[in-house]
Order: sequence, then C-alpha cells, then structure tokens
Amino acid sequence: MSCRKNKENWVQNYDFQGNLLSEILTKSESHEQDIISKKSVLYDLTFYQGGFLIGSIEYFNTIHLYTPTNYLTQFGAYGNYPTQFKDPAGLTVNPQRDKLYVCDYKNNRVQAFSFELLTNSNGGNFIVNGGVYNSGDFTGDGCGDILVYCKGKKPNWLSAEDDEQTMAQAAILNVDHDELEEIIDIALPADWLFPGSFKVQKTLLGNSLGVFNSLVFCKGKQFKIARYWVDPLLIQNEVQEEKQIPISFRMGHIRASGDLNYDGNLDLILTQKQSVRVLLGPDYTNSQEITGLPKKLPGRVRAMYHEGYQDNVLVFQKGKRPAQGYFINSNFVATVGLQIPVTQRIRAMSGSIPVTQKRRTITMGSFMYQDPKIKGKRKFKVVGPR
Amino acid sequence: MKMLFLLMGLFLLGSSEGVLAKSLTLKPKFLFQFGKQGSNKGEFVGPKDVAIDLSDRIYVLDEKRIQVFVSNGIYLAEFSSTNFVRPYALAIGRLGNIYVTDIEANCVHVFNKDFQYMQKFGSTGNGEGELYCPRQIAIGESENVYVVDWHNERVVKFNSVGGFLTNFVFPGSDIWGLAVNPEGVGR
Repeated sequence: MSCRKNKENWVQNYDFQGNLLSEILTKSESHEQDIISKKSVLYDLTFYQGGFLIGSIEYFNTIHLYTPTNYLTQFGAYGNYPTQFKDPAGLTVNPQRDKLYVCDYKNNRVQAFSFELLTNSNGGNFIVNGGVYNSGDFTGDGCGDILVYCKGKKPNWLSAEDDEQTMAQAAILNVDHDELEEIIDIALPADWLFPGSFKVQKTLLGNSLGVFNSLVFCKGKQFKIARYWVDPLLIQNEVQEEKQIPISFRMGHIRASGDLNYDGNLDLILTQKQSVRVLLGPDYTNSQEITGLPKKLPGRVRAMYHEGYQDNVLVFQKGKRPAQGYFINSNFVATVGLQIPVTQRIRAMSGSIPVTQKRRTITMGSFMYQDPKIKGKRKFKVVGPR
Repeated sequence: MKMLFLLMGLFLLGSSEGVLAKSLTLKPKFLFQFGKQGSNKGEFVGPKDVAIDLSDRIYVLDEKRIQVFVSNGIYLAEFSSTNFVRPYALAIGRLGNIYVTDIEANCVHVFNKDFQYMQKFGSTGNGEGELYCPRQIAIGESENVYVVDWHNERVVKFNSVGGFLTNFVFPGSDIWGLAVNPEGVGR
C-alpha cells in the first residue's frame, strides 16, 4: 500500500483489496502551480459516466473534472447565481450517472448539472459588419461566442425581414465548430446605447458554463457594468444587474476585465503610462498595481481570459510583434511570460489554443482578430480549438 | 495539509481509456436548483451531502435531518433521528438502506428504505470496527460499507449490517473522501 506523505493534494485509485492502482495528477499540464490550493479542500468525489471523476473544491467554489489519470477542467465561482457556489460540499450522481447533484452549503441549495462530451474545433473565419468587442460563452453551449455591435444600421447577418432600427444594436454570434450558428440580440440597458468605445473584453463568471457574462458600457466618461444573463435552458437573455462604476479617466483606460481575486466580482484592468492596475469590485473603490511585469510593458493590454485553472492570462500586444501573455495570480502578481503567435490586432479572446513554450505545448485562449486584407467588411478569425 | 481520496474498485476499463483523448472536454450544463435557507419543508440549514437511490429520489442531509426529493427537486418526505449528534455524510445501498456517518458520535446510523431507524454501528476508538471522526461513506461490492475514518488515518470496511471486515491504513494521511466506481463493483 502506498502513501506519499509529501504530496499535498492527491486522488488515488485502489482496488477492493487496498492495492494502489493509479493516482490522478491534480495538476494541469499547462500550469506550474497545483490547481488545488493549500487553502482549499477537495471535499467529495463521484464517478460520472464514461469513467470521468468529479470533485468539489470547498473553499475555491469550483467543481473539478478529472479523467482517471488527469485533471481535465473546472467550472464555478463564488456567488449565489446558478453555477456559482458558496462552499460546495457533498456531491453525487444519479444511478444512470448522467446527472450531477452538488450540495451548495452556504447557499442552502442543491444544484443539478449534466455534462456533454465535446471535441475541440479548429476555429474558422467569418465576416461581420460591425465591431467585435467581447468574447465568451454567451449561449452556454460550450463554444466561444463573440459579441458584435453595429451602430445606426443593421449588421449584415440579421435577417432582412426584421424592421429597420435606428438605435444601436448588439448581437452575439455563436461560433460553433467553425461556423456561425445563430445570432441572439442583446437587450441593451434602456438609457445607454451600446458604446462606441467599448473596451472591456471579458466575461466574468462561470464563463466555462456560459451562464454569466458581464459587459461594460461607457457613455461619455461614465462606465456601467451590466451582468448579462443567458439561461441555457430557456434561451432567455436579460440584463440581470447593473452597476455604475465610479471611475474617472484620470485613473487610466479600462483595457480588460476578469475576476482576479476570485471574489465573484468583475475586476477591471486599467493602464496608465507604464503601469497596469486592477480596480476591484464590488464597489471599485480599491485599486492594486499588478507587479511582476517587465518595466517596459510589452505593448498594450488587449484582452484577458480565465482558462479554468486559477490564474487569469493578460495579453499584451505591440505593433506587429507576437502577443505576450502573462499569468496573473490572485495576489496580482504576473508570473510567466508567454509568446503567443498572433501578430494581428487581438480583439477578443475565448477558449483555448495550444502555445509552445520551452518545447512544451500549453493551452491559451483563442483569439479573434481583424484581418485587414478585406476592405469594407471586417473579417475576423478565430484561431485554434474552441 | 495532506489530502487523500480513495477510489475503491476497478476504475478504468480499457475501452473508456481510448475515449479519453486529450482533445476532448466535458461541457457542463446547469439543469436546475432547489432549496433555500430555512427549516421548513424543502429548505436547508447548510446542506452537507446528497445521495440518490435507485428510484432516482434525491436525499439531502443538512444539519440534523434528511429530506427526500423526487428527481426534479420537488419535496417528498423527511426523516431524522434523536441519535444524530453531528451527521456528516450519507450513502444509499442497492436495497435502499440509508447510511449516515456521524463525525461526533463516531458511528454510522442506518435507516431502512422506509426511513425507519434500524441501528447504528461503530464506536469511539481506534480498534477494529471503531471510528474517530468518520467522514465520507460509500457503498461498494456486496453492499459493503466503506467509511473514511479520518482521525485514525484509515478507511474501514464493514458489511451491510455493520460487521467489521477490514481496515485500510494510510499513516500520515488526511483523508476527506472516497468514491466507489460502480463499474468496479462485483469484480
């Protein structure tokens, strides 16, 4: 019987006689750091169909998925909306093992989920008549979607039968396995037109599930966050919550967003000369500088995304040089610099593409960028799987 | 802090290994939720564990009671026992018996499928069949009961009526939970 005392978080497989069969690496291959923090607890574990394992991570409010030998992915965040948790505890599956039930301890509820096995797609090209300003899984189908807006006239993908509208519109393109599948109109905040300078580019919470996305709108010098809710079952879209951000342009420009400190609030990334700072929710009265970045920033901040394990990746881009990505941990320290082989201007990010670093292939987000070769229309490309 | 999860049983079939190629992923989908804070029917005070019987009924353990729901989350029934001190986790066997670990009473409470209290087994200590802070529980082959005996750094195996069978000792471990692979049962 094997027992490795120095290993801090581990899952082991034994047979009924107590013989060790194998153990699961609770590390993501693409990440140096253990995906389960010392502060968190792998509370309970269950078997889903197909030989997958699902575990609840108590203090990090996430649910982990494993193959019999490896960490696969995770979802969840702190909060009380669906797919968010406050200390997930015991979990189980039904006898058919196609439904997962999770005790959400401090939310005093049980949440039910199902899972679908997906293959990664290779992305593709598509043409839109409008600006691409956000990405994420808006429709909750597990594929990266992009958000497009059009000011004053209809985007060209909308059906001609629709009545002409003069107000600004925004729509979500559902990018599913190389194709644009469907378009969902977004209800914009009533008194706010969709902004001409929409700079924040990231979904907030539960983006691996696609249930929550946050949009930041600006009007003049005011910013407003709308938490945008997509019900994956009812396909209902509505703005769930709106919040005014007490921000002035002296503080810099909002460049990206994400939940860096895992408090369930959208943190905003601001740049000001040679520093990058985080404006922290829920009231955005607190700001922290991101440390660990090079003295001369490797370009403009283009996007940020959360890849399922603990750190967010902040992407910089300068001119036509390849983009640079940095892992930003929950203490706002940038750790590893990655070269991302995308030289066109990145507009949004979602999902994963493989990136080679030190002869090792790791996974990064897919990038939506503008292809300048086509005039009049804007051609965007989604790089890499999902 | 060291943590150990035990998965008893044959966990992997050759065929399923082939499916688990690196390019595949599981896409989660939220289905529904039920419960809110409170002590009325269908309400919870800190739900700790959930189990499902062969009729797809959902059993949820909170501070001191077990509530039963039909598969869509509609409240059906509830039961409890005055023997509960600090119930921690529960599991349901194929015959419908409900096993509940008690982390303070150092025992396992057993209810039958009609929610009647049948017996408890285990007592405080580190001897055979004794428990010290039992945590997660799972039912394995032949209705055998596996209990994480946290403070004793071991997993204790009982038969379905609480007879001691064997210990799996992991010195220096910090075991929180275990799961039994249904595909491994009976092998």
